[in-house]
Amino acid sequence: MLAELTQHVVNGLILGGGYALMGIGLTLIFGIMRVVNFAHGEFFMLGAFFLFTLFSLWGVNFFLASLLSVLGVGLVGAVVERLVLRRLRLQPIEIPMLAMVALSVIIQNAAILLWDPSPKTIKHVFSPVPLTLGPIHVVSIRLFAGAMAVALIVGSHLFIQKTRLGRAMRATFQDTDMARLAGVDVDKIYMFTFAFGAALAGAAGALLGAVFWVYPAMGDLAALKSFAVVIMGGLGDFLGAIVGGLLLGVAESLGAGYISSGYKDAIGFVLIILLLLWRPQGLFGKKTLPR
Amino acid sequence: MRKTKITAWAVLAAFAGFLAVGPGLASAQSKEPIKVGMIQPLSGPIAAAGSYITNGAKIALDRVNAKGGVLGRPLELIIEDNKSDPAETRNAAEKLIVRDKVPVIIGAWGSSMTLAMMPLAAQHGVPIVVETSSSGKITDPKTPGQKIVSRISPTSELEAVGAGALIPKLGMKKIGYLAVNTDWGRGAVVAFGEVFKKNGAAIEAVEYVGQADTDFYAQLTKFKAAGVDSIVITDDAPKAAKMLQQMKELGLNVKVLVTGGSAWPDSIVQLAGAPAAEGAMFINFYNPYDFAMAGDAEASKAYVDEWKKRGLPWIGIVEGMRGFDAVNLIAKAIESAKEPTAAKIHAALKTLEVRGLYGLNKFDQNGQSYCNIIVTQVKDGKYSVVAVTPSSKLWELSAAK
Repeated sequence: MLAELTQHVVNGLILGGGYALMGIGLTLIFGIMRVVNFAHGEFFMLGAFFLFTLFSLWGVNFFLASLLSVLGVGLVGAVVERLVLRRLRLQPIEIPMLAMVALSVIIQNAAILLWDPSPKTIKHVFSPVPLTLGPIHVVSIRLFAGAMAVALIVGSHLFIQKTRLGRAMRATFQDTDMARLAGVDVDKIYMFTFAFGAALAGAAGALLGAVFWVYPAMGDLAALKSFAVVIMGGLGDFLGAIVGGLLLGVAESLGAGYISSGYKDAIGFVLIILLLLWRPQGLFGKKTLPR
Repeated sequence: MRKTKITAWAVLAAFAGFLAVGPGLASAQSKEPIKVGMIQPLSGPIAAAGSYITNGAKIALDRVNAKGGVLGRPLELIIEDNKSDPAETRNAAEKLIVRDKVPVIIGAWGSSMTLAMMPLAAQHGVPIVVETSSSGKITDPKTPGQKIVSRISPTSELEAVGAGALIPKLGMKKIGYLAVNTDWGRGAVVAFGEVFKKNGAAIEAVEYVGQADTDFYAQLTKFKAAGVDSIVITDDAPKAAKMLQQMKELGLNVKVLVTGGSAWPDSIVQLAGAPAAEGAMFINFYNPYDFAMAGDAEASKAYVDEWKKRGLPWIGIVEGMRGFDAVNLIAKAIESAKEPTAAKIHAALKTLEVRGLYGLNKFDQNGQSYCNIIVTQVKDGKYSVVAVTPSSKLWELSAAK
């Protein structure tokens, strides 16, 4: 009984680590830049496919391949910002949103043409044999993914709070004109922030692609969960994304375990509705006036 | 001013003339291809399965056309993507029927998807050849649009009958059932539940998973706590592979049977790795290693050879045969209908008997065909056959009823 509960909670934390990881990239792009990025799932998917191509097809070292994949997705993000979003920056929020919907369809179908739709497994370097602690089982790739999630989230948080570039980013999205007057190259900051958010999505895709599998539609569910995590945690809040992700993971795991697995996704979203009724700004979000 | 008016009238008259003559011209051109509509999931979570079936259909199409086509005209496939979604399936069917005016449709992989387009097709009288879906609802006379359906894939009930006798032999007693949360999964749980009960096994717990889910720890943890000795899975190959892997990760060592015919030993060994796949059993309808097991050994060999020649993914071959059989069946139906109209093809399908890869494709009063049911297993990392209930035996059983 207790063993079952513990295993459910452990499962939920591991699942939630993945959700948090999906959410942090979106926290930057949606939470701070206010771009409703419907192509977020596609950056996630590209991270996984880049890793698959580099590691499984071309035989590059797993860790180097992961790093290159993340940088690759960042590059794609930079190109998207330069070619699409920059032209739409002054438009109302729904214009870039629609552009991202279109981009999502284009990228996903390009992936189907490029890699075909059959699911691929990344035969990663971790042992498939679970680590056991009494009745509790965990596999090391999932622990690795969880640890990387925490490292990336804390790293990003420190980067944005403590560095000069991070300060410039925050200034830009608080008041673009003032930032420009203070000498910040606003165009560069927009491009960098979007690329950074995309790269984080790519990192999540590469890690979770190795845990699960890689296929062109894998981003759909990831995007949905990312929005849930970001909205639940509070827009633009990294700590919120962690707590939101873990909460969603544990709620789903316990809900599926003790209520009904048929309603697993519904349980997560009911939780979000309840939470937003209580705190419309999310767990850690600050009350802001509409812009 | 006057001049432009005259010109406008002349253009209109010419256009009307073209409209009047147009259809006449078309029928005069006997070489114009006969269109066959096909709806498959080509994007979304089950896109891989849809692409395999489309490839199987293309192989059959090229074979038919290489032999001179049907009624002296080539066959043409118009393939639509239903994005793994029932609402999109209905849209695709509407497009095929209204705009392309196809006289017959093959589709649409998932039971929920097929059910979504049946009423519309029935309304237009366009017959559907169902190549994969296995929910009992599709050929249930109470279902709207059932009359328009000819199904070559087996129902979950047929699968259960074909495999049920094995249950006591396999020592399956306390069963955890893991099914996809669609008409397919829910129908299979009911159908197999009855057969398990008759054979002395009980379903201890039923858990459903979403179509795009990748994590099944919660469900499997529950099964582990319930102390099941076997797990039955109704889902597609990639998800079944992940479930097997995660069973190993959670230290759950039980007997596994995967229903539905999409997962088979080779695909699971490739997707899950040999250690996780070892011992798992599958209900399949086609054996690509034994041509004689199919209803038409020669076609079976030609199909496998061509699949290899085209460099298609080997793991998709047992899925691709569904498209292959559907196209061959339709070619025969048009041939015997002598006219490629929806009504004639529908009538022809009712009386047709075609040997194919599924077995003997012909249809009972509800439009259901009975195919071979083959139980396979991963043994030492390789494909092996546990038991076969041939199509002919199932036809005998139904005749005896």
